[in-house]
Amino acid sequence: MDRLNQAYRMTKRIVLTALLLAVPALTGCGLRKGNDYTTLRWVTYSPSGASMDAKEVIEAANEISREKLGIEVELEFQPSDKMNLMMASGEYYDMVFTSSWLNYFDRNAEDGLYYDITDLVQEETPALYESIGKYWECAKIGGRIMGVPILKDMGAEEMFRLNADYFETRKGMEIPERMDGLESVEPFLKAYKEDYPNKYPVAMDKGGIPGFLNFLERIAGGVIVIPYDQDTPVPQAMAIWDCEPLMNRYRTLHRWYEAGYIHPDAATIDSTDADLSIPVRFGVAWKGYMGYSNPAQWGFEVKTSTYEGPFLSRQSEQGAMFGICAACTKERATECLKYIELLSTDRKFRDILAYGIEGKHFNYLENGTVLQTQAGIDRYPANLYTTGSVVNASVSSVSQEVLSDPDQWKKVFEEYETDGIYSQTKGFYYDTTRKESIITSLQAIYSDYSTELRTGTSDPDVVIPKMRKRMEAAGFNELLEDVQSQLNEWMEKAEHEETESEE
Amino acid sequence: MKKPSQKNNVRKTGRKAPKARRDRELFAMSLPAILWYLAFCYLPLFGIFFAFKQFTPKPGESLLKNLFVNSPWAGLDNFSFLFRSSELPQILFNTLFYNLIFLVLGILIPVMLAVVLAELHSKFFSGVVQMVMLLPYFLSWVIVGYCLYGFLATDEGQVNHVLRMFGAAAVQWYQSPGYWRVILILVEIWKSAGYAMVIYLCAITAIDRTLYEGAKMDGATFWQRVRYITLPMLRPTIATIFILRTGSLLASDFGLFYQVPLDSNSLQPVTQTLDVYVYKALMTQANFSFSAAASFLQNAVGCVLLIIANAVVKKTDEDSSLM
Amino acid sequence: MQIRKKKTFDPEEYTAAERSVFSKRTNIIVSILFALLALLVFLPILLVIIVSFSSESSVTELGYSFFPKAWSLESWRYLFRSGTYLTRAIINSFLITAAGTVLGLVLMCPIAYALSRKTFRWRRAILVFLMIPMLFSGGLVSTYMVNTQILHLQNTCFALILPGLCSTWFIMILRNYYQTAVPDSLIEAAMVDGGRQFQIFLKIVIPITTPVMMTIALFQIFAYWNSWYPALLYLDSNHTELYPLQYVLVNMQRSIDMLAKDAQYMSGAQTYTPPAVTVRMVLVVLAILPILVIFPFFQRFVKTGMTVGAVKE
Repeated sequence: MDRLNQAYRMTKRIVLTALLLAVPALTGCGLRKGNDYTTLRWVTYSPSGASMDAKEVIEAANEISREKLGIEVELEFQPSDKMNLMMASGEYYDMVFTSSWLNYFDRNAEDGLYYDITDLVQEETPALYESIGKYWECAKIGGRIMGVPILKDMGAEEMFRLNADYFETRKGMEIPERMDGLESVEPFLKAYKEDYPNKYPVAMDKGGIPGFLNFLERIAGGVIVIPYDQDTPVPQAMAIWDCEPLMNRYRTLHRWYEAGYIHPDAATIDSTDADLSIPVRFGVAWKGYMGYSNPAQWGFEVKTSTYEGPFLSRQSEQGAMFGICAACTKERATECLKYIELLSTDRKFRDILAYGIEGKHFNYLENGTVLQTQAGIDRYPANLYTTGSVVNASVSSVSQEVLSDPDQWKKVFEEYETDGIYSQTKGFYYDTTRKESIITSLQAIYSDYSTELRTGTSDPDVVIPKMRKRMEAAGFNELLEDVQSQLNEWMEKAEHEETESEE
Repeated sequence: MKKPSQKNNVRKTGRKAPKARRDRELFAMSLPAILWYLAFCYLPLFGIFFAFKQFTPKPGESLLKNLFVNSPWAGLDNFSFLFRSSELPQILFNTLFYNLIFLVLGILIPVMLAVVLAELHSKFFSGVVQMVMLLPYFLSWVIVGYCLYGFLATDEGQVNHVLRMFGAAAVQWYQSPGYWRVILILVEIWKSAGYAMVIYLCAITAIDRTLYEGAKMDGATFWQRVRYITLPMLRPTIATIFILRTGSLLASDFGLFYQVPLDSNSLQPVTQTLDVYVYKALMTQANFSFSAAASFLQNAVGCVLLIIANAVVKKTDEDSSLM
Repeated sequence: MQIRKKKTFDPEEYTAAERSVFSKRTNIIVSILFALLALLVFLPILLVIIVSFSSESSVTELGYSFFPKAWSLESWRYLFRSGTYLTRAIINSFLITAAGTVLGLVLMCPIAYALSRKTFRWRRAILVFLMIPMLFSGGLVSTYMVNTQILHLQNTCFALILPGLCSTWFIMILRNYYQTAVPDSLIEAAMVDGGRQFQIFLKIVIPITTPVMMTIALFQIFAYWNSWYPALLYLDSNHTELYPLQYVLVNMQRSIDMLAKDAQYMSGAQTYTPPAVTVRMVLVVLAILPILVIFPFFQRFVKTGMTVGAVKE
C-alpha cells in the first residue's frame, strides 16, 4: 500500500515538476542587457530558418559592431508564417524585416507598429539619411518616415534567359541585348518546338512567369491594376478585364499553351528548375546581373535579354525595408538606426552578414568583387536583401572566369534615372482597412482562376467573364470606386504639395 | 479539493464513505490532466474574442491591454467575408457531401477490415497487413499530392501510360473535375482507413475471449459472431467516432482538398470546401480576426451537431454516448 | 486477488487458428484478398521509395516512375552531408518523443480510467470539460501568445513536449477500452478488499489493458516524431541546438525550394540546384522508417484475448 502511495505521489510530482519547470525556463527575448553594450533583437526573413554557420557569422559581425557602436544583434531568421504570428501577437522586437510583399509595411505602419524616425534619422544618422536619398519617399506614411528602405534593385526589370548554345550556335539565331515585350520570344519558341515536337520550350510552373505582372501597379492582391503609361491627368485604377494590355498578355500565354509551348500540367507543377533542357527561362533582375552566366553550372552558355522595364513604383521600391518597433525607447531606436547606418556605409562590415567570414565562406577577388567558396554556398548561402543594404555589399562574381562589374550598382541606379519607367501615382498606397472584407472575398475568387490564367491553361476570354460576374457579386465595384476616390484624393494632395514647394 | 492529501483523506473517511473516498481518489487521478487542459486548452480560449474584434496588438504591451484596450470591437464584421461569395451554397454542399460520405465509409470500411483481420490465423501476416495499411497515414498531404501527380500527370503519369498502352486517349486529369469526387474519396480512405482499423483492432482485444470460445462451442458462424459479439462490443468506440465526426461536419481536411488536387483551378467546383475557401481568402493577407471568425462559426455549428448526435446515440444506447 | 492476478498473465491457451471461426480454406482466400489490398495500399509508398533512389534527371524526364532510367544515391548523400547537425537533431527528436509519449500516457490513462467508472460523481462534468476544447479552440495566435507570453515556453524543449501531451480523442479511446475490458465486478471486488483507486488502476487495470496503452503510445510516438510546426513557432533560429529532426528536414526542403525560387527572382544568390524532387522523397522515407522499426515491436503487445474472463462468473 505504502509503496503504491509513494508511486502515486512520485508520478504526480513528476508531472507537476514538468509543468512547473516550464515556467522558470523563461528567457528574456533579446532584452538581455550586456555589460556595456546593447543587444538588439533583429528579426529578418528566411523561409528555411538560419543557415548552418549563421551563429558564427553573427558573432563575427557582433565583435565589430560592439567595438564600433557598443551594439550587438540577436539576428533571427524567421519564415513568413512565424513572422506574421509574431507581429499579430504583439511580441517585442527591435528591428524587423518589412516590405510590400511580406509583413506588409503600409498596413503595419498605418497601424502604428513602427517607430516614427523622421527626425531621428536626420539628427542622429545623417550618413544613412544621405545614402537613401529620394527613396525615402516609399517609406513615408502621411509625410512621416516610418521605415528604412534597403537599397537594392529598386525597379523591376524582366528578362529572358536563353540557351545561347542552342539558339545562337546551332540555330544561328541572334539574341539581342534587349527585346520588346513578351511576344518577341515567339520565334525562339517556334524554332525549338519544330526541332523537339514532344518537348515544351517554356519554363513554366504554377507560379507563372516571374514578374509578368510587374508592368502594372497592383492593388488589393492584384484584382485592381493601375497601368504605368496612362494619358489621363489622374491615373485610372481598373479591373483586370478592363486592362487591355493585361488581357492581351493572358491571351498570348493561352496561345502558347495551345501551341504546345507550355507543359499541359503547368498549372500544377511546382518547379521546372531541375530540367536543364528547357531553353527559354525567365527572370527578374537588374542590368549587369551575372548570376546565370556560369556555363560550368548549366552545361551551356546562357544569355539574358531584357524585354520589359525597369518599372519603378512605391511597391517595387518597398521590396525590402527595416521597420523599427514602435515600443522602442528613443535610445534604442537611435541604436537601431546607428546599426543600420553601419550596415549601409561600412562595406567590410556589411560583407560579413552578406557573405560570411572572409577566407572561409568567401574571398575577395582582384577586381573588388567577392567569390563564395563551396563552404559559403553550403553553409552560409547569401540572401543579401534580408540582412541589410545590398548596394553597400560587395558584388559577387559567378566564378574566377565569369566576373561581375564591381561598380554594377552605380550603373543600375543611373539606368533608373535614364530609362526607368516611373509610376504616375506619386507613391500612392491604398488604405485597405475599410474594405478588408471585400478584398478578402475577391482574393478567394481570384485564386480560383489565377493559376490557370497565368500559365495559359485557360482561355481568358472564357474564364475572365465568369470571374468578373462572381467578383461583381462580391462587391468589386464598391472596392474599385473606393480605390479611385482614394487615388484622386492622393493625387490632389500630392499636386498641392508640389506647387507649394515650388513656391 | 486541489491538494487532496491522500493519507489524511483515507484515514478520515476510510470506511465511513467508500463512495466519497473513491470519487475523491478518481478526481485526484484526473487532476494532472485537468491542469494540463486548463493551461494548454482553456487559457488560449480568449482567442475566440478575436472573432469579434479588430485585433491590432501593439508590440511590447501586455496581452490584456492588447486584447481589450488596443483592439476595438468589430461586431460581426469579421464574419461578412464568408457570406460575400456567391459560391457559398456550392462550398457548403461540398463540405457536407464529403464529410457525410467520410462519416459513413470512415466507420464502415475500417470496422469491416478489422473484424475480418482479427480472425486471420497467422498473427504475423495480420501484423504485416496492419503495418502496411497504417503507413499512408503518416504521409503528409503534400507528399500524397506529389504521389498522386505521379499517377495522374498528363504526359508522364502512370495511369495515362496504361491508358495509352490500351490505345485509349490520355486524360488531362487535373483539368477534369468529373473524376475528382471519386478520386478524393479513394485517397481519403486510402490514407485514413489503416489508422481507424488499428483502433478497432485494439478495441477488439478488449473483448472477453471466453465469449468467443463459448460462441465457437455453440457452433456460431462468422456472421453470427460478428453480429452478436464483436459489433455490440465495438459499439462504444464506433459511437465515439460517430459523435466526434458529426461535430466536425463543417470542418474539412484542408490538405486533402487543397494540396492533393494541387490547387488546380479547373477542379475548384468539386474541391472547394469551407476550409479551402477560408485559406484562399486569407492566403495573401494574414488577417487573424477573419480566420478566428470562420473557425468560430464552424465550431459553433459543430457544437450543436455534436450535442444532437450525442443525444441521438444516448437514446439508442445510454452507455455509448460521450457525455 | 491473487488468483485473478495469476489469470491475467496466463499464457494464451488457444492458438489464433483455434480461436478463429475461419476454416483453413476461408483463411487462405481472405489472406490472399488482404495481401492484394495491402499491395494496392503500398503501391504509392513503393513509388516514393523508388523515386528517392532514382536519379534526378530520370525523374525530370520520366516523372515519378516505377522504372527509373537510372538509380542514384545522390539525394541520400546530399542529406547526410550535414552530418553532425543531423545526429544532434536525431537525439533531440528521440528525447522529445520519449518524454512526450510517457508523460502523455501518465496524464491520460488515469483520467480515462476515472471516466470509465460509470458511477463516478464528476464523470459527466469532466467529460464536458474535455469536450469543449475539442470543439472550440482559441486558434493559433492566442495559443502562441499563451505559450510565449504567459507560460514562456519559447526556446525551450518544453514547447515541443507539453502542448501535445493530451488529446480528448485518445482519452476517449482509452476510456472505451477500460469500460469494455475491465468489468465493474472486478473493480468492486478489489474495492471491497480495501484497495484504493490508484492501486487498483496500477495493479489490475494497467496489466490487462496494455494493448490500448501501446496503441496510443504508438500514435503518440509518431505524432511527436513527425511534428515540426511547434519547433517552427517556438524555437528561433538562434536555438538550432534544440531542433528536432523533422524540423531540420523541413528546413532543408525549404532551403532547396528557396534556391530554386531564387533561380527565378535573382535575389543575388548564386545558383545551385540540388536534387529537389528526390530529396523530398528521401525525407518521406525517413519519416516513415521509424514505423517499420517500431510497429512490429508494438504488435507483440496488441493481442486478442488478454482480458480475464473468470471474474465475471
